[in-house]
Amino acid sequence: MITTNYHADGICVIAPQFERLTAANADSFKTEVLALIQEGRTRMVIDFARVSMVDSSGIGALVGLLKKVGNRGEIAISALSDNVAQVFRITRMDRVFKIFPDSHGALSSMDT
Amino acid sequence: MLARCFRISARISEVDPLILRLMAAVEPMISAERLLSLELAAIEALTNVVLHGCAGQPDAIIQVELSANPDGLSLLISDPGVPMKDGLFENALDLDQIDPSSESGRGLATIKACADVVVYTRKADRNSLTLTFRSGRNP
Repeated sequence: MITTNYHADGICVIAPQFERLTAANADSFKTEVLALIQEGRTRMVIDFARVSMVDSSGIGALVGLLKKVGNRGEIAISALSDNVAQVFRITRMDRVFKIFPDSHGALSSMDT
Repeated sequence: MLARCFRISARISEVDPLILRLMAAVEPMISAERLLSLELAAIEALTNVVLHGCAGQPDAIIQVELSANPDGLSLLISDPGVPMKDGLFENALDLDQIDPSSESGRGLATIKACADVVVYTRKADRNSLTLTFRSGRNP
């Protein structure tokens, strides 16, 4: 359900391959990403370019991942569609996550 | 007044397909921003029914009635699950009151933020949740 692209600086770009992150798949998505964190991948960009809808279960999964990484690393979010960006605003997650227009911008930010 | 009815069994895998059918029916009647509010509220409400109200009853039938009038749209979601607690929606936290680090508990608050009116009733051993979306308001 996700693809991963590893960069030389240790940052992992995760691209969900589904259109909707909802209660139907939030747990399996979280499990997949947690496996990466347990492998030591604690700097990651989650690129939502293919995702057109996220619900509160999906938001909860993202918050869980952010907590799991904690101060050992960082998670950035990129390429939110208008709808998903609005969901982040409605749920106040735009105040919690670092959000970038695309994965390149997120990577540049994390390089510094 | 336009009205349509949708039914699913209480399985989480059935929620998104129903939502897509519902959105296809609603899209011509509502702005893109209101469409998102309706979609998000409907997802949260149906997910709550499946995971809580009808937990352990995968064959229970959930019905969604869409009705449209000049002032907006409404969804009546009914199910045979366990009754909701009294005042559940009235007492639910607003999204600004929820701990940002919480991994759950945003569903009711999201419904309240997205729908203009939320009314819960219990009749004939079924829960009925009516969500009203007036034209021209965004959360």
